[in-house]
Amino acid sequence: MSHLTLLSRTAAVAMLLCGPLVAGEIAIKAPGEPLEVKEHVILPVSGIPEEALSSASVDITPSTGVTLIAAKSWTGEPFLLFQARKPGTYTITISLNGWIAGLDASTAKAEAALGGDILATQLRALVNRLILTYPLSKGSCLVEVAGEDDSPTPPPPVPVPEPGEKWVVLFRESSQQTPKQAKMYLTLRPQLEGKGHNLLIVDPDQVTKGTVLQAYLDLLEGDLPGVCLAAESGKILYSGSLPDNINDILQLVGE
Amino acid sequence: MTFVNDLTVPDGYIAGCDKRECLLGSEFPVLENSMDLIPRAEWGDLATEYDGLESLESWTYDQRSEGSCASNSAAQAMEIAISSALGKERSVRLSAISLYTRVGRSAGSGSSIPSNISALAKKGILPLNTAENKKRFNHTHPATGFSARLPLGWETTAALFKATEWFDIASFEGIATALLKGYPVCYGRAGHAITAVKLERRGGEWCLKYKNSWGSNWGQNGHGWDTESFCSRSINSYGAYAVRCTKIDYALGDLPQVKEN
Repeated sequence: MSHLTLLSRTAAVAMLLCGPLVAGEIAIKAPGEPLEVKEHVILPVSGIPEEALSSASVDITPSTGVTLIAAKSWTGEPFLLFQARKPGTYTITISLNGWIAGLDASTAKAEAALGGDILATQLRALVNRLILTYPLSKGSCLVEVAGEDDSPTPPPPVPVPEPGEKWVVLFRESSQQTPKQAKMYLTLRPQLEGKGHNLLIVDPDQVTKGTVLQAYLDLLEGDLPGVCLAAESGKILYSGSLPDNINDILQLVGE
Repeated sequence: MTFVNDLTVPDGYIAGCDKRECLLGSEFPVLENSMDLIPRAEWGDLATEYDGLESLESWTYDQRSEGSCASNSAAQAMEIAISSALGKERSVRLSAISLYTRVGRSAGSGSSIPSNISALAKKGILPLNTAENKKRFNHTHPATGFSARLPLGWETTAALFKATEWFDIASFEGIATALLKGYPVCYGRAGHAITAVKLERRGGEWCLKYKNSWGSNWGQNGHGWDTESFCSRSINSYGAYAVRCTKIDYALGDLPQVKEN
C-alpha cells in the first residue's frame, strides 16, 4: 500500500467538508459476480473531484468482519479495497458533504433556508456558532460475497470471575499422580490460600457416600484430575477438567 | 554435625522400631507392583524442581523416653497426608501415643511400622490434646505417656483420623517414586523409624531427607538425611510405607452445599 494515499482505514469514517463544492454523479463499480469469502477486490470510484476526496465519507452495511480501505492510485484515481469474512450482501455508500456555518437559528430554520434538503444533519457547536453539514451527492453499490463464514472461532467461554472467597475442590486419582502434578498442587495451595480461597485435593477413595463432597464429585464427568469451583454460597462457577498449569487455574478462580 | 546416617540416640531418648513381622505386601499393595517406578535418570531434574513435603509439616513430634518412634513416624506421615489434601490450616496435630498404647507392649518395648499402620487403617488415631483440638473433638490424647488410658469412647473420634490406603515399599527406587509423587514415607533402619519427606542429592549420593521424632532441637529443625546405601539395607527388614489416602470428613463441615444453578 506504500504507493497509495490512505484516506480511511475503517468502514464508516466521515470527514467534514471545508466548504460547499460541486460534485458529479458518484459511482462505485461493483464486481460482476459474487466474491469468495476473504477475497480481496478493488472497487474503482468515479465522480469525485480529486480536491474533494479528503471530504468524502465512506460507509458500509453490514460492517462486521469487513475490511474496507479508501485510497487513490498514483494517478489520482480513487478506489476502495474490500474484503469480507462472512457471506452476504454488502451496501457500500460514498457521500460528499457540504456545510454551513454561522447560523444561530434552530435546525428547522436552517432546513427552511436550504429548501428542506438537509438529510441526516450533523449539528455541532463550534466557538459559539452552529455548523450544519449536509450531503451534496452520494453513490452506492452492492457487493455479493459467497462461501463459508471465516470469522475466527470464538474461544471457549471463560467463567466470569466472581468476587469473594471460593472453594476449589480438586479431584485426582492419587495412585496416578505424576511428579509434575505433585509439584503443581504444592505450589498452588499457598497461592490460593494467600488470597483467602479454600483448596481441597481429594482422591475419590476419600469421598464418603452421601456427603457434600460426593455432590461435588458427581459434577465431574470424564477422566481425573478434575476440579469444581464453588462460590461461598455453593453456586458452582466451574466444573470440568483441571487446567494443566497454575496460571490457568488461578485465572479460573479469579481474585 | 551433618546428621547424615546418624545413629546416635540422644540422652533421654530410645529407639524403638521392631522389625516387620508380616510379609511384604501381605496387608497393603506393593508400590512396585502398583505403578511404574520413576526412572533413576529422571530423579535429578524432578528432585531439583520439587521442594518436597516439608512445607506440609506443622510441628515436630517428640517421643521423649518412650519407644514410640514407629507410632510417631506413622502419625507424622498421616498428618502430612492430611495437610496435602486439606492444607495445614485444616490439618490436626495427632497423638502418636494414642497409637502406640495399642501396639506397644510397654513404654520402652518399641513396635513395628506395619503394626502401627495397620492400627491406623483399622481404628485410626486420636487428635493431640491441644486447647484447639479439645474444643473441636470429643476425645483427645497427650503426645506422650504410655500409661495414660485412652478416653472412653475414643474409637468414634479416632475413626475420623484413619489412613485408609497405604503402599508397602520394597526398594529405595520405590521410596524415591513415592516421594516424587507426593506421598510421605515412614521407614525404619537401625532400630529407629522416621518419616521421609524429600529425595535429595548430597555428596554425590541419593539421600532421603527425613523428619525425626526427637523434637525440633535435634538435627536441622528436626530433620536428618540417610544415604541410599545406608537405608537400602534396612528396607526389607523394617519396612517402608507410603500413605496414599486418609479420612478427611472431619474437616468438611464448612464446605458449602452444591447449589443448582
